[in-house]
Amino acid sequence: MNCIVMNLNEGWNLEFEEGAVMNLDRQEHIREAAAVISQYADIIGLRTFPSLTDRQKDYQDFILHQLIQYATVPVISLESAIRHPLQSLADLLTIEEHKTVARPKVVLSWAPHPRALPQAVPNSFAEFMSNAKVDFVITHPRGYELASEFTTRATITYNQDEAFENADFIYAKNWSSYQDYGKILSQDPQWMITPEKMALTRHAKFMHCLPVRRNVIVSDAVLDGSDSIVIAQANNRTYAAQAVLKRMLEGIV
Amino acid sequence: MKKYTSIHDVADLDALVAEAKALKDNPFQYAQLGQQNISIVVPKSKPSYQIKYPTCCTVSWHELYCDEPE
Repeated sequence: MNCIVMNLNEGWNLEFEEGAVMNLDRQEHIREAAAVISQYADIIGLRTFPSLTDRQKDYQDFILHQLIQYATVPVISLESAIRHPLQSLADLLTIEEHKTVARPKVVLSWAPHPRALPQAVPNSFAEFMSNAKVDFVITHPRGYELASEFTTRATITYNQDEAFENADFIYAKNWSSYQDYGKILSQDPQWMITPEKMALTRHAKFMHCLPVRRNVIVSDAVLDGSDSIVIAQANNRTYAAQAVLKRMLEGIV
Repeated sequence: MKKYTSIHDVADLDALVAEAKALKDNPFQYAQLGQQNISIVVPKSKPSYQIKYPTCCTVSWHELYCDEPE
């Protein structure tokens, strides 16, 4: 398997808008770029991030869909403006490997962070958990509600302690506000995952997609504790990607 | 082959997880997929990438792991 990695818009600036007059700094349109790259590869993987300033455009997954439109080979999302499906598949695999009851309680908990982060990871995680054999709870401060299309089957509570009761898995993640788009509404350290919070659970395993900021998202004691499975979770990114790429190459999905 | 999948049409999740588990137990063999030669185009503004990933080097899947910029 040969893999070519390209960083766009860092010297090679692509134009994505239709009908653009390209007399500024963008040298090539996605129409030609996608067509050319398609001749070099059997699959194109794209990782892109949201602007966090234009919700409508971000939630159209504009760049991803422009590539899909003009590529002539299959495209796989390596994280888009609004979803991170390979991460979520790795997360689900990790939960399947570590669960001790048939239907575990899985809690997605917002946690503080100094930067405004995308909603892609929690969106996809909510989407996957809503379709998995788990009881799924999301907890966050008011104002951090995710887009409803991802949370229709989730129980949502603003009380973190209540959410943690009898949980089997705690998945910590920060995200910026969807409602007040891209804004940081809270940095309340009370939402950090601590041993005291974990004590409310049913000996829950701690998960995070990494990289994680110690003693901001989660305390050292939890991250270094025996119930932290973040390294095993990261390892499963390998097999999640392999499974999907294998299926794409086999023409199954 | 479908033009696109983001695997968020999750009807086949159990099968997909089973496939990932199977691959974990019995990883890809080079003989099956060939040596994983990675050619990487890097911008001049990111020389550190060139040090980490010289053109036409061989890297593992693990080295491709990264996450959103935090």
